[in-house]
Amino acid sequence: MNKLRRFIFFLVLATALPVFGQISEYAVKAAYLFNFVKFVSWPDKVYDDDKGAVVMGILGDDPFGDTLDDMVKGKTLEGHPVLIRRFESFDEGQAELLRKCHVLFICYSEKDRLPGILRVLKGAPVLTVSEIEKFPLLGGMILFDQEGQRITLAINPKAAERAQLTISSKLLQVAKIFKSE
Amino acid sequence: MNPFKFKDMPLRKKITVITVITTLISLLTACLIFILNERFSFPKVMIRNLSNLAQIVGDNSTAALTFNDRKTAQGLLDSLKANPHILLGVLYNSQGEIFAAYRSGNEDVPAYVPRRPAQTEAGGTGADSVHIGGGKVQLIHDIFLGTEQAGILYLESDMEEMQARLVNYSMVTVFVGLLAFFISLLVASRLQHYVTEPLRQVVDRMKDIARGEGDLTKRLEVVGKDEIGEVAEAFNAFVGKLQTVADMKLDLISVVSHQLKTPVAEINGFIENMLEGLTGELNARQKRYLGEMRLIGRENYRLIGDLLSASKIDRGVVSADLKPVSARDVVTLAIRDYEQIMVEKGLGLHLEGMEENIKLYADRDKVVEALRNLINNAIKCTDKGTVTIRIGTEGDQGVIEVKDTGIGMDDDTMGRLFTKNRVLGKEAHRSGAGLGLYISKHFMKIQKGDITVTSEVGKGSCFKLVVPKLKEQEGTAA
Repeated sequence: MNKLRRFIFFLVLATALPVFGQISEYAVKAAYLFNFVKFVSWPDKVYDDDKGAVVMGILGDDPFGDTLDDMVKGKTLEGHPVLIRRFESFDEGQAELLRKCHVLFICYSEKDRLPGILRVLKGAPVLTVSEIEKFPLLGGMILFDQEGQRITLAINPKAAERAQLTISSKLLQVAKIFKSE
Repeated sequence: MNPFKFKDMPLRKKITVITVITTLISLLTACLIFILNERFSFPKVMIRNLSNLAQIVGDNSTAALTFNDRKTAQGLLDSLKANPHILLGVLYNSQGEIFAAYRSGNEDVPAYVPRRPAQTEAGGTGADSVHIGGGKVQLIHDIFLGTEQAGILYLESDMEEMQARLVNYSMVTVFVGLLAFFISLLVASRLQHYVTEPLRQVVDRMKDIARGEGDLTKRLEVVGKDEIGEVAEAFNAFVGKLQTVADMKLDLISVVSHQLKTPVAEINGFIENMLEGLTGELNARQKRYLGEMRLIGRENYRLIGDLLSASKIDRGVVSADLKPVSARDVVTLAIRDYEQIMVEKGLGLHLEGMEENIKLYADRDKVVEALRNLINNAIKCTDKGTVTIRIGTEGDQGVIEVKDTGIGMDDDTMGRLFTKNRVLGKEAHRSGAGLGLYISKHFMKIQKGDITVTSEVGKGSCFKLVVPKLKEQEGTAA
C-alpha cells in the first residue's frame, strides 16, 4: 500500500516535472513579452482603437496557456489596459486585426507562413516576437533564444525601425543584435 | 614698561596689533563658517551624488534585471570602478537575491538586501534609504520598471572625499590666515602713521613747551579736525588760560612791588635821618634798635627791587643800554657799599688787576648790580677769611671774578643756582629772596655776557662775570 502510494507519487512527480519546467519557461517568456512593451515606444495614435488598450496578439498555437492572461490581469502599461487577442493560424483575412496589435507573438506553428505574415505586417507599428529560428534574419524583430538554461534575446533593430518602433537601448544592451541587409 | 604688554605698547604698535587681530578674527571666522558649512552640507552633496548614481545605474539595469542578463548587469556595476570612493555595489532582483555585485576591495557582499535604516538621511532623491555611520554612506535604491519593482540596488561609499576636502579647506584656511596676517601687518604698519604721526607731533610740541623755560606764548599747530586736532586745540586753550594766570601773577607782583618800593624807601630815609641825629640825641638802645631797623629796611628794599626786576624780566621789558665802560669803575662802584660791612664782619678784601685798564662795552648799571649781588652773596656766605675781586680778560671777553673762602656749594645747589625756583629752596633764608642770581644772570645775558660758577663745599666759591670787551669801532662810535 505504502509502496504503491510512493510509486504513484513519483510517477506523478516524474510526469509533472517537465510540465513544470515548460510552464516556468513560458511564464518567463510571457513576462518578457509583457515587459517588452516597457522598452519599446510606439508612434502616437496607435491607442485610438480598442478603448486605448495595449493589444498583445498571439498568432497560431498558443504555448502560454493561462500564464499570460494571469499575468496581465488587472495590470496596466503606462496607464493603458492590456488586451490579449488570439488568432487562429494565419490567413490573409486577419490582416486588418493583425496590423492593429502592438505586440504580436508568432507561434512556432506559423513557421512556414512567416513570410506571408511579415508581408502583411509591413509598415504597421507591430512589435513582432517569435521563437522561430533566425526570426530576426527573416525580418522579425525579437527572437526568444536559448543559451543553456537561460532565455536570451536576439533583436533586429532595423526591422523595428522600419515599423516606426523605437527599442530602448537598455533592451538592446541585453540582447544579441542582428544587423540584416 | 613691558613692550609685550598691550597697554604699554606705543600707539603705532597698538594700531598694528588691532588691525592684524581684527583682520585675522574676521577672516578666520569666515573660514570657520565656511568649513562648518562644508562639514554639514557636504554629506548632503555626497548623498545626492550617490543617489543620482544609484538612479542612473538602477535605471540602466532595468532591462538586465527584467530579461535576466547578469552579464550586462555586472558590466554596469563594474563601471562603478570609475568612482574610487564606491566600496560596494550590489544589485538584487525582485526576489531579493543577489543579481550582480561589485566590490572595490574585500568588502563582504550582503547576501540579502540590507535592512533599511529606521530614519533615512536627508539629501537622497526619491525614496532612497540612506544611512551614514562608521565612515560610510549606505544607500538602498529601489529599481522600478513602470509601476513594478524590477530590483534593488545597494551602494556603499566611504567618506574619505569629505575628510580630504575638510583637510584641504583647513590647509587653505591656515594659508589664507598666514597670508592675511602678513598683508595686514604690512598694510597696518604702512597706514598707522596717518594716526600716530600727527599725535607724535602734538606730543613732541607739548614736550617742547613743557621742557622750555615756561614760555606760555608758544602754541601747537592744529592740523585736521579729528581727536588729535581736538587735543591740540584743548591744549592751546589750556596754555592760554595758564598764560592769563601767569600774566596776572606778574602784573600783581609788579604792581605790589611798585606800591611797596616808595614807602619802604621813605621809611629807610626816616631811619637814616634819625640815626644821623636829626630828631635829637639818641640813647644807646634807640641807636641799636634803629640800626637793626636800617638793616631790615635795606634788605626789604633789595627784596622789593629784586621782585620788580624779576617781574620785569618775566614780562620781557628789560633791555640793556650798552656803552663803553671801564671795568675798574664797575668794581669801584660795586664795592663802595660793602667795604664798611666787610670791615665790620672782619673779612679781608683783595682787589687784583685794578691797575689794568680794561674797557667793556656794557650796561654799566646792570653789570654793577650783578657784581654787587655776587659780592653780597660772598659776604653772606663767608664768616672768616677774604673776598677776592679780580679783573682780567679771557679772549675778547672781560672777566670780573669774585672769590670767597666761605661754605661753598655742592653740585646740586649749583645746578639750581640761577633759576627762580631757588626762592622756594631751603637755602632761601640765607640769601634773601633768592632772586639775585636769577636777575644777575639775566642782566648779563641780555648784554651778551654771562655768570659762571665753580665751588667746593667747605672751601668757598668763585663766581665769574663775563662781559664783552669794547671793540675799536664801538669805542669810536660811542
